[in-house]
Amino acid sequence: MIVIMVRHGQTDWNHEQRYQGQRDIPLNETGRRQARELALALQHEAIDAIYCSDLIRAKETAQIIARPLALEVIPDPRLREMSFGRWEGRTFSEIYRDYPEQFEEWFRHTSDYTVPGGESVNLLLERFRALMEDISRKHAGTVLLVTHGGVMRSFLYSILGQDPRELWENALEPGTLVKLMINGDDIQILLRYTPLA
Amino acid sequence: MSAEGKTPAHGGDVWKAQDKWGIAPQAILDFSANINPLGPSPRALKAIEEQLPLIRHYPEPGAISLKNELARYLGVLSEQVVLGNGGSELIYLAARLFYKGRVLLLAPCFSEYGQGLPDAHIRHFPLKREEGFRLPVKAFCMAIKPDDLIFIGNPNNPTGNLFERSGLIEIVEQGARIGARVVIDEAFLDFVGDPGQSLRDRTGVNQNLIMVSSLTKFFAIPGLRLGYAVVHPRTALLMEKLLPAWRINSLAAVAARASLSDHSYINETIGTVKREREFLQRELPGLGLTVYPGVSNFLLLEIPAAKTLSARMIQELLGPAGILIRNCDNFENLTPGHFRIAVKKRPENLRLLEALKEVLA
Repeated sequence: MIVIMVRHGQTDWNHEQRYQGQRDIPLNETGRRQARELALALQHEAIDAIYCSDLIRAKETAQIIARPLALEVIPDPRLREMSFGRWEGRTFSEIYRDYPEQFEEWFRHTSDYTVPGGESVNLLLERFRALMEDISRKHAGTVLLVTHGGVMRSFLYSILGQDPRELWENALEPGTLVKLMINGDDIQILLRYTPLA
Repeated sequence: MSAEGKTPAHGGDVWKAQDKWGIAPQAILDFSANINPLGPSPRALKAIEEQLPLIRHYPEPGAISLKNELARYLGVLSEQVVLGNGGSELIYLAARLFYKGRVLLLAPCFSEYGQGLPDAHIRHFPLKREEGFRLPVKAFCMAIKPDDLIFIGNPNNPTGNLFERSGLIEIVEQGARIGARVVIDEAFLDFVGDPGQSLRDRTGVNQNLIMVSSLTKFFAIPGLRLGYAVVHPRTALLMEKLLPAWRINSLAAVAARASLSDHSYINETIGTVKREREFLQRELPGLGLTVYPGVSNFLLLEIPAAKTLSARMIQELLGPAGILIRNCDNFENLTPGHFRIAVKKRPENLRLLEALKEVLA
């Protein structure tokens, strides 16, 4: 199946480099412009369905993309960002200052370490895979998923068999679109596109 | 050390020229190396100066910040990018990693392909001079055998011509069918100013395709060394495993990041190279030289047989004036009458034309 994954456009918290997790932060003007740019880039794609995270930054990005395609967006909590629990709303340096041991632990055991009050990558992947199974039963054509950086990176790392410690190093900036052909374990990368910030 | 009578195996050997003719490297007019005639981006030079104190620290492992920026610039995933200490490090790595008994090359082509292997079996597929060194795709596909490791420069070096994207895709797909790897070297493609010709977007699809390129030439930082490969993420994992983490020095990373963001310099480079290449293409035939149809920042020239003059002799005559050209007599399928020149800025190009005119008169 062909899956187009899109990371929501920029928010003020992205700009301030704050961990958002499941906090509901809206797009900023840059984010809306990025979404319009994505809508243009995708207007000629034959898309069967658009699913999005039920967080406002993803939902709004999806709605802007969906308009010219005349499709309804389907919000699904399984596309939500990883919950960063007590780290949400803080910047990296603040987290590292207040939770140095936990952060080191998370870096060393990225897949199964549960962030204080939050989620682990493995838990995130579990809900994401359940959604993908539902989708593959319902649609034969191209499906667009508007989701979050952590979801996209976790999924790519899991399917590509990379070192989980590198999971957060490979950047997918807000608004990044990745078009994939997935066939069991075989994955083809058809396109990557990032609108200007 | 004496360099008497020796031709450098590559262009750009200003050190040997200094030895031989006693001219300081800074004073040499080097048409033998195909480097951006504008020199490095001013932004890159400024960034290097500012960041110079960084050299007391280890570089960022894997130069991940540069990798992320380059991936976005190229429109591929960071997981598909492998950075190298110059493109040649990755060309050597590809040879060591994927050689299974035979290397298949075009003739002529860049002399580093298939190097780094002890006793490699290298087969050359000759391109025809009278056809302007174009690539006969069907015939080439027939020549591919299972397990072959193929290297193709696009544009080809030293001929300077571009091969059609559709033909190259056909070769990659034929390779995929019978189990051959294809390395496409796009070190000079940025000068063409048509990113749509690149095969990098196919690397996520065709796992047998390895695209290698260089930031050294376009951004004029050959002294810093910086190349990259774009491959399928699974191939990238394999390549990364064989490379040390600190192969990209801090200054190369700093210079590259600054250069990639210097859009006006990038556009000016493409414009200058096109204008000056076309100028040379108009002027050189007037000196009696054959000019092959190049699209990048260098041109392959041939001295007509009627002149009893070789490229080697021309170099000997131009050397004392501090002008270096690239004698091509050590390329497979070329003759002692072939040489290559880089496209430089107008005043330098005029000096070369003047000097060649005197030598050929």
